[in-house]
Amino acid sequence: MAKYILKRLLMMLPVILGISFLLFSIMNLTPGDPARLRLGEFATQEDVEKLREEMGLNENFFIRYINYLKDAVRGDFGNSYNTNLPVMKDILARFPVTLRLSFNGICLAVLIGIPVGIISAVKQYTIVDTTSLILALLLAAMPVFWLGLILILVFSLKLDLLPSNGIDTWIHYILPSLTLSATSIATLIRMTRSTMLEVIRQDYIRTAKAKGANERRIVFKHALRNALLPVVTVIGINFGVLLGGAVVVESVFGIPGLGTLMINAVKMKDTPTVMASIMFAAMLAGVVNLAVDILYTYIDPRVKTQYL
Amino acid sequence: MTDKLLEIKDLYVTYETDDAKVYAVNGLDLTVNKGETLGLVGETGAGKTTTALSIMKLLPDRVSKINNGQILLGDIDLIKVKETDMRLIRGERISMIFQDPMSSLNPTLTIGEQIEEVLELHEKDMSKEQRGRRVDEILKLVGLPADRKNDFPHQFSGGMKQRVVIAIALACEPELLLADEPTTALDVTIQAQVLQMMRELKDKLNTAMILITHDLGVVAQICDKVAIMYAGEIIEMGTLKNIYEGEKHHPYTIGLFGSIPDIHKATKRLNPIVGMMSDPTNLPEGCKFYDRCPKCIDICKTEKPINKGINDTHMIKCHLF
Amino acid sequence: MAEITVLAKKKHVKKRSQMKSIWFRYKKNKLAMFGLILFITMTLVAIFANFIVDYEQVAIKQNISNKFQVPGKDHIFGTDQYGRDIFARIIYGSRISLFVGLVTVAIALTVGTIIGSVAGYYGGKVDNILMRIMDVFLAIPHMIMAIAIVAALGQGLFNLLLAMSISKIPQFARIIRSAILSVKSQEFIEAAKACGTKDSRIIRKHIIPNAIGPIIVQATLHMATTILGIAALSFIGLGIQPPTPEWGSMLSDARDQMRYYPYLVIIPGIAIVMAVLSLNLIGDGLRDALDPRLKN
Repeated sequence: MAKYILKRLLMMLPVILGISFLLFSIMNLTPGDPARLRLGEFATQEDVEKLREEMGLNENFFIRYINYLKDAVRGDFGNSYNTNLPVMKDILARFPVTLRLSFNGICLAVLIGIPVGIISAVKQYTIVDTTSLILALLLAAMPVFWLGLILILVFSLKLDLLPSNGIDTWIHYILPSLTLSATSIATLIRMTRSTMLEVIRQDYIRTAKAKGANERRIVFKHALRNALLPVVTVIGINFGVLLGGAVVVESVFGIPGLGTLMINAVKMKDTPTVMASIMFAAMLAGVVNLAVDILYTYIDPRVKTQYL
Repeated sequence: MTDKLLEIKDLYVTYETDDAKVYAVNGLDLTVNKGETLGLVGETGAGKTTTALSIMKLLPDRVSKINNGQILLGDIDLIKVKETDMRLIRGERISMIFQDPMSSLNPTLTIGEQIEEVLELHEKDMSKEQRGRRVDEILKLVGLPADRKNDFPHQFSGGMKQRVVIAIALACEPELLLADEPTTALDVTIQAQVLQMMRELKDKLNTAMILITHDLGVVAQICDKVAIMYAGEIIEMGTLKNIYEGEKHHPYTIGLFGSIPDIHKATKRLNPIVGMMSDPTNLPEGCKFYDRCPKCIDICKTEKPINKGINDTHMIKCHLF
Repeated sequence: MAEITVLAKKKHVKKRSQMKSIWFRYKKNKLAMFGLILFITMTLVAIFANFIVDYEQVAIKQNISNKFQVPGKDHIFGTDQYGRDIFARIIYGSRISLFVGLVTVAIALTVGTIIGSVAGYYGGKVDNILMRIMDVFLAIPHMIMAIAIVAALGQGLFNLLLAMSISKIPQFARIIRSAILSVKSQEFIEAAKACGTKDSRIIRKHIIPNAIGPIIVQATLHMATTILGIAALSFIGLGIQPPTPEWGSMLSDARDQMRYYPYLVIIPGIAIVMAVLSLNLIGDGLRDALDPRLKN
């Protein structure tokens, strides 16, 4: 097992390198001179040239890339073009916030989406099924930021029940987490329902019935175990989408996380911050994906026997 | 004290979808005695599986309907039995095994757990230990090593999986076993082994069996009685001797036997039965074999034939007799 | 000779009736039909927007004296804080959303198809390298990828198009590659090869017709997510720039006014939901119509 984990981590390495190269290349396309940006319009060309030398901007592309990597490995992602403070500092402060938010989001999605999907499948063709399908359709069609605004409108502004800004207490996390989980809830309802329906039609369910098992046993002991396997995989893949949503949700609720850092950095053309925040987001998505894959090898006997 | 175990009387089963109504079983009569093995023979679409599923009350919920008839297990009419009571019967008094062993087992449970489940469901007063021992016993009975009981289905071959399926079916020593083409999906050599094992078990446990198959060779090896089914009804029934060696037969039966190539004779062409079984959504008025029967007479077109007893044990449903 | 022409005719008839039976199954699905009608309506409105309301006058020109009119007689959806008619802005906004959505998917589909089919058909090293590259792209959540590209290229319509298409190319490449792989491994391809059929002919006549169904389904669903993506980017200020009306940026404007004028927030959102929902329903309907076995 440890070997498998190690192998997967090693496989992630080229991908991370690839991402860094990709981002570096993309950022390199940015029009405008960072040194000029820093010093402002009125600085002399001399000063700008001096700063360019200092910042190492005149070097060859690949050399600059290697330098970047060398620093990054040591934890130095450069200084923000805005504040001139180390980017890492901001990232370390904000990363846990985004982590907490996304984690909440995915947990809510699993706790709500999967049971609803199961019930929907077991009670196919009834009103419960139709309702959850319509719910899933609507949630999937809603922009995540719109849902956030509506929730703020109702619970914050009109009813004054929940806060709409910041992250001071755990209550502050309620609305944002709920908003974030919405799209994933929709996906999980549909996915769980469809795998359950498929599993229920399998031959081994017929065998279980022929043994004299009742519905409860069939659903929980036989169907569920098999249906959840593909669902687990989907959760891992879906996390990336969730993370993208987190960026927007942070903006809606004024949450000081990685997302708002990223957005502001883009608007201010603060390249080092943009690069670092995107890389961290990508790495987070990658790690979660890996974790889910590892979890999967534990729960699917067909894979388990290969690695354990 | 009668020997009768299961008696089906005048069974009618239909399947109804948005597009069509399929008349799958049309007036079926069948009797199985204790400890007896009945071979239910017929081509695909004859209604054999539907019959078995009707006995088990495992027909698909929304689309199927038992329109008429009785299925008597001893005194109980299974058709009238409530679902909660039926579950007590399934696995304990009547068991069923299905055609494809590859997909009949739950991939996420060990085979030991799956065999033990039947015991959990029906032998309530067994302790966990006792169940464990019994599982070992059963595995031995079907020729599988007991130390593999914590392995998963995907770690077994097709033939071994089928043994597990049989083990599950016989764990509670049922009175009747319904076997729906249990060896069709297996290699010929494995087929022989599994049949042999089934024969031994059947004798040992005195279980009655309805063996559904289209393979007359398999029937010859293991069955006491044979019932030939066509378009949802039994058209000929008798002992093994009656059917394989008797002189009088339903024209369909003659066709079936005639279509088997004889290893001893040199022939240039095979002898299939001409035509296809009638469309089950649109069955003809008279004898359903009418349009393919080389010996049909006028009355066959308009009137349904009834059971004619040839002797004590042999029955043929045809106007010719 | 006559036999061959008969067979050829039969194949033609079969193809037509296959399309017909797909359409027939699609028609039976009420939700799918609803989605289709909704989408067609929205498209028509977008195309003929000029005939419904005048752009400059109503959607762009500010008219402060008219501001914050609640939905009513003169203005069906009311006006915003600059006095602009919301109804007009919604209609013109639909042009942007549908247009960018369509073009994005078209570009991503084309480029993705080329990459995916090369990888899928030729396999081996080519496949490996291409897919590794795609994996790198896919490792970045695609909203974030779009943000990165906008960060590099700057804002504006064209860059937005580019950003969204590039972020979607890897997904299409993957889908097409797997569609091709699954068809390629089927026996009738081997049979065709055994008859000596040329590669390009195999691709044209056998692989594409079979793979095209799932591809269209995915294209429709991706168009829906693209519309959501455009709205999100515009909302956070990285997409379409004012004063061009776009549903997402309308919501961003509405944000500070929400407390007293909730209709400013509700209406554009509903527009987005309708567009996305209709596309999702169409995509699902197509999927069910193409393979009815999956439904029950």
